[in-house]
Amino acid sequence: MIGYLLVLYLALVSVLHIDPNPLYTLPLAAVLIGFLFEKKWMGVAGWTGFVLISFWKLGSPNLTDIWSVSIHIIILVLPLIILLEAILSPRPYRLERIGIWPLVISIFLSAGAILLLFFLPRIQQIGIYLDSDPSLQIFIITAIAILFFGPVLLGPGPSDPAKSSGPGQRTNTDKNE
Amino acid sequence: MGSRFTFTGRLIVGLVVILFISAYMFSSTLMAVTGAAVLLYLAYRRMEFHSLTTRVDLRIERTVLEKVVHKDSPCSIKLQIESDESIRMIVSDRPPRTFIHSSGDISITGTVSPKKPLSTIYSIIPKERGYFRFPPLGLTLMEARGLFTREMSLHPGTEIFVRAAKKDIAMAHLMSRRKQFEITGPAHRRHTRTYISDFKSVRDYMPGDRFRDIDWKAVSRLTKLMTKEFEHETSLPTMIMVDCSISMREVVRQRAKLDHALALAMQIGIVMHNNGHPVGLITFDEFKVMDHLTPGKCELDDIVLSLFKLPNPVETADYPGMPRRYKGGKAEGEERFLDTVGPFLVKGKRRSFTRDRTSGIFEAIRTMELLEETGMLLVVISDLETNRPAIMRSLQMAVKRKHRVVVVSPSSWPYHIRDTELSEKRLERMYEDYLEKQTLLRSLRAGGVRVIEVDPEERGELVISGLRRLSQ
Repeated sequence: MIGYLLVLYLALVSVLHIDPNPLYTLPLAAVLIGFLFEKKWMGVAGWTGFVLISFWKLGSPNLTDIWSVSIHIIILVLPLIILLEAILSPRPYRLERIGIWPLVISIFLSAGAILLLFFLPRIQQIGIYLDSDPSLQIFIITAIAILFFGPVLLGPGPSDPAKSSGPGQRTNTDKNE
Repeated sequence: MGSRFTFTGRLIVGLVVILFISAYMFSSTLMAVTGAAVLLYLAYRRMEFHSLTTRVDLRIERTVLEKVVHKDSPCSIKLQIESDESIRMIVSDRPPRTFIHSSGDISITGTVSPKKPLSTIYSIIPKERGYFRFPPLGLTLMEARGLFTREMSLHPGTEIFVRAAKKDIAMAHLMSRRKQFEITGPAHRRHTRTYISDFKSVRDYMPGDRFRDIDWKAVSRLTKLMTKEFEHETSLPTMIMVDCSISMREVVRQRAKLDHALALAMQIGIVMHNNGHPVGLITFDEFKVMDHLTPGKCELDDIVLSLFKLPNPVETADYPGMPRRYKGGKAEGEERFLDTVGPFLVKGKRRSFTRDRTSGIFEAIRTMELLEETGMLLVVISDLETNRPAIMRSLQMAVKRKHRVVVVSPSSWPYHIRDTELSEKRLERMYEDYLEKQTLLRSLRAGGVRVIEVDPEERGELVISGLRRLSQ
């Protein structure tokens, strides 16, 4: 529970930083109720409200300004992801054994996406001027996100343990005589 | 099969889509960045889930708790899943098709951890006798955040051996108490054990009577030689021969002829054994002898156990009746192929000139000829539909060997057809089968074989009565 309260505190600081209006903390109250009564849907609904208010009150960063983007990610995107993880995780929260390769692949994917996001549009010789058109920026972000993360989400994944030997094959137990 | 999105997973994906669309509508790059971040989170969770499902070591233990499982009696199954990592899953066990779920949870949901296995006990009722293998266990692995699921099946390879119904065994014991069975009169065996029991009557002396049988008191009273007569009880070894060919195993409705044959064989065996007659058993299929137990050299339990191990019934779609190949002309090369292949199917690969000699019943009679003595009581339980020429030939051979042969023959159609399902075409076919069978039965009766026709409702009384009349 202390972990969840910390997450909520983080989110509260984030939203108060954006706008000190106490009305905007209502979605966080929904998240808290979702925590208390273990209602995942209420947590997700509160999280969505929190996201929408944040977007409404917080201006969009300029992609060409790295500092602006970094600050936005730190004060909003990271708390959002941490809050989402806290909402979805089963209770009581346990630290899982983290697989190395998923972490490495995720870091490489995100690093590749960020690099592409910052450096590709700067090639003004191909006629892309990010400063001039925010729709173009959004299109590039969407395209890169789908390009990098889409195959991971929709792909077949690694080999199926059921069709290969499978863990169950090793443990054949028959005690009926 | 790959992983699937759950409802929550789809909801998050929907949120991402809304974020991207909103980003376009409100020209907000922050929304697009957030959408991309959530997408990254989903991608990470999916990779982590795949990594977990690949490396997790699941140990499935499915145990049949009862040592002996009988048909129509519930048996308990214990299912336990252990894992070296904590993972949430839905486990759905599936008993074999001929089993009915009786009580307990056949499907369980929970988190398996190294210290806390997931287990359930449920009971099922077998509706058929025989060996059964459980189908693969259905597992649905769930991602810790409830975003993805993955279905897989595991094969613990559990087998269950279902014996005949308890009521059949109880009926056999009941019959053995109720029906007194004895063989009297002359026997063709050289070593028939004859016991003199009760005094019967006194008659005039006839040349050849034993000196010790003369009733001296009656001689002094009547002044002529009188001989005492006694009831003679003869111990007659009985061989029960059960046909396990495919026509006996076919089942369309609830019951196969083989199951009925099993119950009858058990009853005959127990009745004969309880009346002091040594009992043996031969089971045979189309081509070979499956099991052979010699009378007097085996216990009744061996016979019952051997009967329990008869092969499983085979389900067919419609009224099977007799094989058509005995009616119409044979396909080109069929005869030649069977004549060539047949000898190799016979035990010992002995040289065989005709296909009749490569049949299971011929092998059974030949085995008896080699290993057993003559003058036995042979009770052949067969529907007389498989290897018909071989049946005629083999039983004639048995009669020549001075065996008393009784054929207990169930007809196919009462086992397979309901009266509401009769059609003209089916009736014609049944009538043809009936005529063919009656022709065969007439031939058998003419050859000195006693035939007892039984229907599915026969519980043994008719057969035992028929066997009693055999001696009178």
